[in-house]
Amino acid sequence: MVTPRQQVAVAARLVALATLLVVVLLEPSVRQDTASRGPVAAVVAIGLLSAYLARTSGPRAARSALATETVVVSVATGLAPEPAALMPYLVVLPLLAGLQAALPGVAAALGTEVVGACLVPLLLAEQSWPRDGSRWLDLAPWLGTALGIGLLGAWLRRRGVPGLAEDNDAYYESARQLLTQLRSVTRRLSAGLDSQGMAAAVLEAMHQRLGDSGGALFISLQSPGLVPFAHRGPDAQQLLVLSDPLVERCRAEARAIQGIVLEGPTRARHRVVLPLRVGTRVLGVAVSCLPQAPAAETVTSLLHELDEHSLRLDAALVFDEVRTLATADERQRLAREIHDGIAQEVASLGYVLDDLAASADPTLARGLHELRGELSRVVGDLRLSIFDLRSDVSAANGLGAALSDYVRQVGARSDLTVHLTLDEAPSRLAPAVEAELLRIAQEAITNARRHASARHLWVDCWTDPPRASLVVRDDGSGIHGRGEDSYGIAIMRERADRIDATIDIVSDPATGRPGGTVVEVTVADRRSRAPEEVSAR
Amino acid sequence: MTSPIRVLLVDDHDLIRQGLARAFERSDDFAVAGHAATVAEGLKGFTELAPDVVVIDVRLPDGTGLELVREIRSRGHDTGVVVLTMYAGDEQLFAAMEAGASAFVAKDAPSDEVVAAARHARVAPRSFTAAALADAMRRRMTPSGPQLTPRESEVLSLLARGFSVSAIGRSIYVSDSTTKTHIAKIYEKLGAANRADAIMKAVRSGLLADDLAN
Repeated sequence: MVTPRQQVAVAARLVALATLLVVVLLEPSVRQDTASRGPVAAVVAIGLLSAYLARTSGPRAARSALATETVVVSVATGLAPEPAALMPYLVVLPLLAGLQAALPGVAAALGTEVVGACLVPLLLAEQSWPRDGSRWLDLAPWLGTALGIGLLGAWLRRRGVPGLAEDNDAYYESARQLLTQLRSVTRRLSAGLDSQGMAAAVLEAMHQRLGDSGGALFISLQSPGLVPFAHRGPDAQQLLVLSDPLVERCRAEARAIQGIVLEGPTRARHRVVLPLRVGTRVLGVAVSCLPQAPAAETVTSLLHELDEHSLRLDAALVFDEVRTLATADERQRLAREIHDGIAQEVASLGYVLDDLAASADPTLARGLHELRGELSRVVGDLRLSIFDLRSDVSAANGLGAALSDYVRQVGARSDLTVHLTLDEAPSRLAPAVEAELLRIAQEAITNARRHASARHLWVDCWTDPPRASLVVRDDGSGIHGRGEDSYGIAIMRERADRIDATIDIVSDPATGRPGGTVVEVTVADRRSRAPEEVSAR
Repeated sequence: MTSPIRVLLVDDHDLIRQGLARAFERSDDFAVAGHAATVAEGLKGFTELAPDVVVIDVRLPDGTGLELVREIRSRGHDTGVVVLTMYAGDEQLFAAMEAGASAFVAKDAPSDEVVAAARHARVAPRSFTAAALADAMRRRMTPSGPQLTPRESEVLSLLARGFSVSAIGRSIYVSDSTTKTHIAKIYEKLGAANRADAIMKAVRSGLLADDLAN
């Protein structure tokens, strides 16, 4: 791959060589001066060679090529009796040095030029140096320009114009700048970066402008096609159809599309489909359902309003993705750390206990044996924690697949019998929602296994994007005695909050069955209620 | 008196190796021949020391212990191999069995179990034993995968009675496309390719027992 910096290195040299040739061809005094031919030929040769090296070799080779080139060009300029053709080349070298090695590079290049073009000829070939000092006057403006251009190169490098800085670091540099901006921006944002809330704001804005009876919002994620993301109003159900031709057209053409949709034999409703645009990209589409066609200017002004919302929504979605990626990495790291560290150490302590028990008297041995049992249980728990940390949803593995995988493993590693019921729609939920639901299910299952000493567990998962529900029920001893604020429950609530879901945790439910705990999570249900309730939120 | 069984311990954690070494030295019929912390060291130790039994951790810094198991198995038929692991799930158990291990022990088991497994491995290196083997086999024979929802069970029983897609849709009051989604999910859950296959698999796993009785 040719990086932008390599492109600059090649282009700058070619421009300088082209200027050189033009001057040689047009200026008879230069063309006819035989003593200048040697230096000009040397500069053309080293220029072409350096351009070739800059394109084909790594940063280190490019750096030494530039140093050699600077020496050759400077000395050639100094020795040539008619150096006018070579002077433009002096400007290019500090620019490249500045891009490569910042201010020290510029200083070195300029120093070399001054020594090569002024001092060397003074010492070596005094006869070619005009006595009247006109050479100084010729050189000074070029060297001044070279200094300016060199500083510009160094500044560009410091600004981190993508690709111009050190090749391998360019992408890191721009990533660092973006992340720094993100950090300061998120501190300043009043609404934070909550994608669910932003989507609700888009639907609310449409409701305010159009007075619609229902709306739905689709997002294009990496997976091909759209994902239902949010909806509001009692009529939203019929809008959540991915195969709607109006939706597809809106996405393809990136403009507002309107149409009439028949509802039964007597009713017809107007449907407005608006693109959510970020620049030239279509982030998703918003669908609205209303009794009659809206005024054209209302749609136009709404479209502009949505552009602002889209940018925020896009930022929130990117943030979600970054957070999901960062969390996934951290979980893998934690799993490795537990596996290689504490789990092995506790396991080896177990062997120490075995050794003690073997040589102890019977009463002590009995106590040690009990302790050994506890220790084995701790290792077993650590093993399951490692597994918890490692299981995840991915592009290929949806919520249902991840859940059934997890549940099967839990069944294999503990005495719990898990009954899983899946009812998944063909389309996927948003990745952040899938991830949080999986974590809530893991937490609920772990609680049932660890604290409630349950024997059976029923997990029901239903999805119909953007809506979903997850119910985890066990036949254990319930969670009484453990406060509502106990760790696992607080974490489950926090996770549910993050995806704007409601969570109900009921111990001893009034189903007539003794004991047991029910954890029920519902995603995006409230927005399908009447619009009054939504605006009252 | 017969000569002791010589054991090579392969684990990258010193404390684990020391604990196991003490456990083996407690029993008179064992002697620890050597230690190794990586796959490469394990292979070197195996070649140089020619131990009777090798105890191998699954996760090693330069590869998986299972590679070492396969390598040892390909070289010597009567060397006992005990696989020791922190990940003691069904998949790991069957993977160890397929690699050619003689025994599989979780790291939360007492050291006596490791010694017992090594003794078994010495006597019958080409057999396989594990504490959770019976349960794992049972789970493998009766997969407790996702169950059908009530609506899917209803659709399945209508399918078994020979209803067409639209007839099923009419009798449970849903559209043809919804019915098709239900059917696709039933096929997916049963791992079936078509209607006949789905019904066969459903009968075999007892999902249609009620319908057949009627």
